[in-house]
This record gives sequence, C-alpha cells and structure tokens, in this order.
Amino acid sequence: MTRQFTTRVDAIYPATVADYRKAKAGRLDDVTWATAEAGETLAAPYPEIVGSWLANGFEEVTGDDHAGE
Amino acid sequence: MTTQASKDITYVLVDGLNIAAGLETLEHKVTAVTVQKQALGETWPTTVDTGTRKGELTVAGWLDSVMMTPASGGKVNTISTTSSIVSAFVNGNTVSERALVFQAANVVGIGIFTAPEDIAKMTPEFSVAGECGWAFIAVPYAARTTDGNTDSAYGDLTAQAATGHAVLHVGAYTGGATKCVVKLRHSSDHITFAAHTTFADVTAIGAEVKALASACERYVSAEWAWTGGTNPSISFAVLVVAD
Repeated sequence: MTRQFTTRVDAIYPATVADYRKAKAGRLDDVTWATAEAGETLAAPYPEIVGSWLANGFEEVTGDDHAGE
Repeated sequence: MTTQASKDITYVLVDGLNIAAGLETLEHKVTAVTVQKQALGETWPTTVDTGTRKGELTVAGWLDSVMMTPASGGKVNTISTTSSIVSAFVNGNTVSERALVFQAANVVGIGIFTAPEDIAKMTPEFSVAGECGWAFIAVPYAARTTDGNTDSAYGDLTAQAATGHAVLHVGAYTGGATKCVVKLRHSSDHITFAAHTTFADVTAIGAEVKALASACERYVSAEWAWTGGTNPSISFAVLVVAD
C-alpha cells in the first residue's frame, strides 16, 4: 500500500523521481516542483521522496491515526 | 569566500531605503557593559562583565544631498525616535553571504563636516537597541514580479538555526496590488521545502523582524504571492539571524 503523509504547512517537492534526482544533484533550475497545501494528505509519488518528506515535517498517516473513526 | 571590499557593499538598508549610494564609511562596534569591583583588601579592581551589550553603528557620506528626497526624509538625516531595521550587506548582495543586521536602530546624532577642499558630508550615528548580529542572506535583494519562490537558489545557513530571527526588507512596491505575502521557507536537504515563517502582509515599502517560532532548517528560501494589482513588482531581501 502506498504510504500516506500529511504536511502541516505549505510545501514543495520534486514532482517525479527524475526531478528528485536532479534536485539531489543540485540541478534545481531543471526541477519540476509539485506543491502540497497545509493539512493535505497525499501519497508518496515515489519511494525516494519519503526520507526527505519525513525530514522536512511531513507526518506519516498510519492506521492508528484512523482508530475510532 | 572571496575577499570583499567596499565596492561590494551595494546595500545598506534602513527599513526600505538603501543608503549605500550615499555612504563612504560604515563602522559597527559592540561593547560589553562592565563594572569595576574592588572589594576591601584588594589592591587592584576586577572588571566584571554584566552580560549586557551596547551596539553602535556610525555611517558617513554624502547623505545630505542623497537623502533629501521626501520618500527618505527622516530616516537618516534627522534625529529619530522611531527605530529602523538596518541591514548592511557587507559581504555583497549574494545568497548565503553574511550581513550585519540591527533589529532596532535610532539616529541619535548627526555631524556635518565641511572643509574648503571637500564636499559637505554628514555622519549619522545610530544607537542600537534590540539585537545586532550577523545574518545570512537567505534571499538577495532583487525585484520580483509574478508569484514565485527562490528554492532553486536557496541560501545555506551552514547549520540548523534552533532560534533566531527572520528579517524582511522591502525597498520597492509597485503595481497597485492589495498585498503581497512573503514567507520564509526552509529545508533540511534542499529537496523538499516547506513554509516556515510568514511575514506580515506587505502593502508598502518597509521592513520587519520576526522571531523564528520554531527551528529553521539549514537551507532557506522565500516565496511570495500577490493579491490583486496589475503587473505588480516587489523588491525585497530576506535575512536569517541565528541566535
């Protein structure tokens, strides 16, 4: 199952794995960015972004978060 | 880092006014407030650092002629009880470079010097209240038009700033927009950027210092978004002071 994350603030991240690799290599001018609104829950578009999201304040939505709903 | 000389100092911002073009010299000094303690029986006194600091900033140049325009009146050519936010880009207007920032500075003295072989020069002396310190330029001073961000030219604080201040200087604001919202953004890895500190809505030339509400990650940038206006343009710089 694709891992789900929420962001508490407006955020921006590389849209595709190719963009992620460009950003990682420092070629930020060539990167196409995707945006996430504060409070939005979204699925990780590719696994490589997960570490960066977690390091920058995205919170993973686990099954426990929905307990009692 | 390249060696910086006076020619590189193209921005000395007093709120939204750049006075660099009228300056010849800039002097900054921080002194410790000390008391001398000499107990009975002691031959020599001991100097005790009270822990408080006093900041001074003195600039000199052709400010009498340069500063006569109404828009800048009262910023540096008169004694001022209203404090200004002053930033001197002493290492150039370059992202990640250091700049001197004074959170609150008042003009408390003005000297005018005239000599037969010289042009009349003025020396405003600022008394510095609040914090003064070295900032990093997160976003260099430049004009910006359509909504955007500077993530692709991020600044590097060299380490996470656990506490500190973000500083915004707005030197030009045109186009009749209702407002422009400027936010400091940050990232731990310069891959995913998130909004960090939102400055007050910008509607005019000016400056603002905001305390960082939470730790600011190492890589910083800014975003700006307009409401209304026709081809609006804003010229601004964002700095981050890590305490």
